[in-house]
Amino acid sequence: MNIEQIGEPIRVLAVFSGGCIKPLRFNWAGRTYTVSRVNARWTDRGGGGYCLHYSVQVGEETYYIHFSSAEVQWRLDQVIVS
Amino acid sequence: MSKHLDKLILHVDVDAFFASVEQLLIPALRNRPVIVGSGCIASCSYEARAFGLHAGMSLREARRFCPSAVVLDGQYPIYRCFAEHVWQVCRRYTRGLETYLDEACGDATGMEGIHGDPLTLGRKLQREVREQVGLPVSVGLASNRMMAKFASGWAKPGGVAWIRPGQEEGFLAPLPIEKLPGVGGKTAQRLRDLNVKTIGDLRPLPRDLLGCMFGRRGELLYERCRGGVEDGESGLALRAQRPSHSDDRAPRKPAAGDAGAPKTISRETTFHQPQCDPAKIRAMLAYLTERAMRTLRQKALLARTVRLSIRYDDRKEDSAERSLDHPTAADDEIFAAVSNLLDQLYRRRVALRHVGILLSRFSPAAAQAALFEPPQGTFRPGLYEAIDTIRDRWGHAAVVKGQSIDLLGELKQNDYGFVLRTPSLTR
Repeated sequence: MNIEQIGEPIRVLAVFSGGCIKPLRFNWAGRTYTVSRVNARWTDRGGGGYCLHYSVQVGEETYYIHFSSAEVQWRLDQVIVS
Repeated sequence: MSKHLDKLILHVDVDAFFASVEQLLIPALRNRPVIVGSGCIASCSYEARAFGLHAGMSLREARRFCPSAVVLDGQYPIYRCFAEHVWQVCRRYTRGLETYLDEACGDATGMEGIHGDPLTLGRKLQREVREQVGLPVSVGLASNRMMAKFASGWAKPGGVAWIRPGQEEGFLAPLPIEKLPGVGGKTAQRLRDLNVKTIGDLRPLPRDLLGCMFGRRGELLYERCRGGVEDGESGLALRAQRPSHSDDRAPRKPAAGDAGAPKTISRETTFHQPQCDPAKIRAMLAYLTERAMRTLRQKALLARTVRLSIRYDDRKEDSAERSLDHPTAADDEIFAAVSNLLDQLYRRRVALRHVGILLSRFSPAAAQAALFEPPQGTFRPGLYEAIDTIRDRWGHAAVVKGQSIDLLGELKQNDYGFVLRTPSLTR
């Protein structure tokens, strides 16, 4: 299994519903990734705001992304390829 | 109308915590043997346990038993977030929840009116954790903390168990004597020399005899082997009352329903690499001291005694403690004692793998002053209050002081502070 640390900003399309945010697609390095499933979500406090973290599935690959309320920015943290 | 129950204590334990989180986050790991750890196993999935793997086993040995296991270093800040989410759910079922990394204990007395009988309550909690967090937990219920922990251990994995009042002795009797809290290796050997192999075998021994053999601890063993022990004497105070890392963010005043002052507060960690540089060892101890002392001040306590524990790279361990002339809430005073203890203990030419400090002998910070006021030492209440306020607002990493500065550049930081390899892992 390969785990690659990325740490780059991404653009995310998400739906806000029922008190939670669900990412649907994201764009990274010019390519669009469609989220087939949200594996898990967790919240962390960061830099005076909070960070919403997601583990999302795109095909066979798993991506860790997060939204920072302080930066108002989504980022791609890790890519895991089995 | 619900039947009124005596005290009902609930113990929750996340099954294979670190490995379960990883399997939740990465679907490709599900139903596969997964190990989390570096050097030795910190946590492994039940699929890995089927190969004989267990926490504490070296990775080298683990790979021999299970070559197909996936080994991960661990992402402790993430595990902490999941633990907090589990405890949020648990707080809807209990009062005064005390947490320690992957387990928690709370008072569910009277909750049967809301959630049903104890087994129903336990299953509801389990289901809610699974639905909201995605993690499997085992739940134990009993009339005191020790028995509730036994119950959750018996129910693992993914089960719920209730040891009804009056059933404690029958439950404990067949268990090996080593399972009783307070019975370590040496005590077990002494008892086995008396042909005491199970907890049931211990019961016929008179209280006086156990007291002569083991002092106050012997009297506690007398109570514990019968299952009827006050929670302050359960032997779990050392772990269950030790606050989790997340308690660093707790408000200064104790939350409503908290069970009271802990008996000990500790912080310990394993170095990323075996460490023999005295400056780096002291820097880590300074940081651990800060973390523990911050928790101490949050609970409005003073500490009088500090214990330093070290483990060498060849697994040999040593520890020593020192009591101060007066109780204190000052980082510097405790760290001075820690530093002296390090000079006293660290004499071998072998690198250190693990260090920890433990504070004890607490008194309330607002206690009446002695007639002859001891010197204030280096305690500057205004300074520490300001630092703690900044950290409460911006995270522990907002202020790095003293010898902890030597960790800058060596370790990554997040808002909780330095990212340690194994934060507060104590077994």
